Amino acid sequence: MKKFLLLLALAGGLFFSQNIFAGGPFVVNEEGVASTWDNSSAVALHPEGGTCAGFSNSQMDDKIEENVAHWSGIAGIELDFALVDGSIAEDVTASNYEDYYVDSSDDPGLNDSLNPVIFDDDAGIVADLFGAANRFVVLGFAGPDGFADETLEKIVDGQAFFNCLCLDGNPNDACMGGIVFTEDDLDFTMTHEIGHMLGFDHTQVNQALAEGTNCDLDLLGDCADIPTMYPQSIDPGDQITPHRDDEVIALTLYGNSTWENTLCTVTGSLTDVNGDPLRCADVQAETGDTTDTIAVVSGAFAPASDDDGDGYTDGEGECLSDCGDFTLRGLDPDLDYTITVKSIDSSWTGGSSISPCGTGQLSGIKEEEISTVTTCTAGGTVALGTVQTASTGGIKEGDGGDGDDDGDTTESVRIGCTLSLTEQVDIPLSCYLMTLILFGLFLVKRVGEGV
Amino acid sequence: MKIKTKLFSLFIFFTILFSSPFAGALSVKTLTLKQMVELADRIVRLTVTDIRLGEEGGRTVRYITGDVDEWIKGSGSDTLVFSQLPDTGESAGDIQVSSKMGLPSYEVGKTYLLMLAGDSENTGLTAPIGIWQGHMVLEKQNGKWVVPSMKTRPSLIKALGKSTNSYDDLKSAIKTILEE
Repeated sequence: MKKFLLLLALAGGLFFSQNIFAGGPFVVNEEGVASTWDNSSAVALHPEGGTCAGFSNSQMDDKIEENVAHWSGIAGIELDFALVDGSIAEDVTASNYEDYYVDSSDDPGLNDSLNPVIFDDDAGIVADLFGAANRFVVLGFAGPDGFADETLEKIVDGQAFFNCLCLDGNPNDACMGGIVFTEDDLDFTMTHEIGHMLGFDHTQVNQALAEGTNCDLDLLGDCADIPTMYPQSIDPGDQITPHRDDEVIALTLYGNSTWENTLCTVTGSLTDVNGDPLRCADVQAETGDTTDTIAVVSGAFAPASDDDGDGYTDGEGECLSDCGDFTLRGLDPDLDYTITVKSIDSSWTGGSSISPCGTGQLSGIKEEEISTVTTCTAGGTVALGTVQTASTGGIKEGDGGDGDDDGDTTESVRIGCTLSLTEQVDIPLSCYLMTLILFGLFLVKRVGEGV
Repeated sequence: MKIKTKLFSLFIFFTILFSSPFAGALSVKTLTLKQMVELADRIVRLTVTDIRLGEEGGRTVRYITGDVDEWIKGSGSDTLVFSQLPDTGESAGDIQVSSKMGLPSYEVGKTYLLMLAGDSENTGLTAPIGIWQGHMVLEKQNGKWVVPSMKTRPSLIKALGKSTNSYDDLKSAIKTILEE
């Protein structure tokens, strides 16, 4: 009986666990389509009414506009933002942030048409969520939290929180450990986190530069080739401005119809040493100048299904097709590129993840040059075809579900009812009701039996 | 027992039903080892024995229980239980959480060096200091504990003054900081 109850509980939960997250783009649906905001109109941002350390509310408005412009200002992009003042007129603090913070699928915040931008002036919100002393450390967090329908193609709701406590001039408290958030930290955090909210994942381009010890925090531009979407803040002043790799993912998701006309594309499909599709390898186009490096993760846009509900699609059988495919966009036809397959650092999982292998990167990938591209023309594509590598870790492409080969009933449950993240008013309500009625009937039956 | 089973099942049901859909990400300040040691409320070498979801203050949380192999900062019993936002998509027994903010994950049976922030006064929640920075998976190699991720943590290597992944070297550096 206990097993049945647990299974019923799990089944109910699985109805509501269909969101999928993948690499390059932050969220990809089961058709391999990346989630984006509708860029036919401006993406609305709703800043709160309070201050952020020494910055007044209007100064923070200016700062948001300045930092989102790093994305909307990319040549060839169709993306605008609209700051809507007054929707959140109050000062948001630890005492009232729950009115705006979305952390559950039943949260009214998913349907409030607000994309709050919160200034956590005394870091009370950060302390509530991540523990006391992390208020001196967490710079901010953000992301999409609502989608138009079950396809997850259109993001309709997001949120962003920025910690102001250790910014110079904050009278609220002294920060332990001599920690100070610089204005560069705030600007970088805004740009990086809004990037996630727009649907951009992390990238490991120019990792060697990031892991070197040559970045001088006081010197502007010496580490400008560390991308904005690199998983770590290495030299925030230099990482505020998007690197070419950041621009390409932004253009891939929001580029206008002609952005690729003057650029070239390289496509291919990786297999491992046994000929199986090789997913989660970093395919980098390099010129010898770190300014030009562009990367894409193989299989990042592959149709995939999060059968085990763990938030990633790197489980067995979860990648459905095209799992080793890659498309390197935005290459300059005037440059010669070396195309190299690299492993993704094993550290880039969880919060630092480079998807789609967000729960653990492949260990069998051998770094190897797979091609040199010297003949790419404007608007053209160089198709490398299937490229067999010396790596191991290829996968068998799935069949759209777990095939019940593990003896569980996950697949039949999933067919019954699929929930999108903002659908709790429409289809999800029917899902909720169906599941609740089933469970209610069961409980009534058990009570009637005197159990 | 049967009533408990029903209540537990109801709890699991609603826990999963209302699990977070938020797909977010965190940015943190890169800390030096000295800062991590100073900010941490507790530093332990801990082997995780249990992970389960629960509810606290109307919010789904993850309880992590572990056997403390070694208290390096702070003191307490041989068992440590702390709560963290459930997040990383990992499963806890039969329960799976679909949200993704990217907080550190844990696995039963694995050993970690954890530098934990003090629990929030309001929520009881905590997380490793600097989120991923205060969370290090340990592995035994040739009978000695090592920190495999050390190479991607230049601030730690800098603090140790040499390229090493030795847990003993790291612990020694932490103790030196604590004694200062």
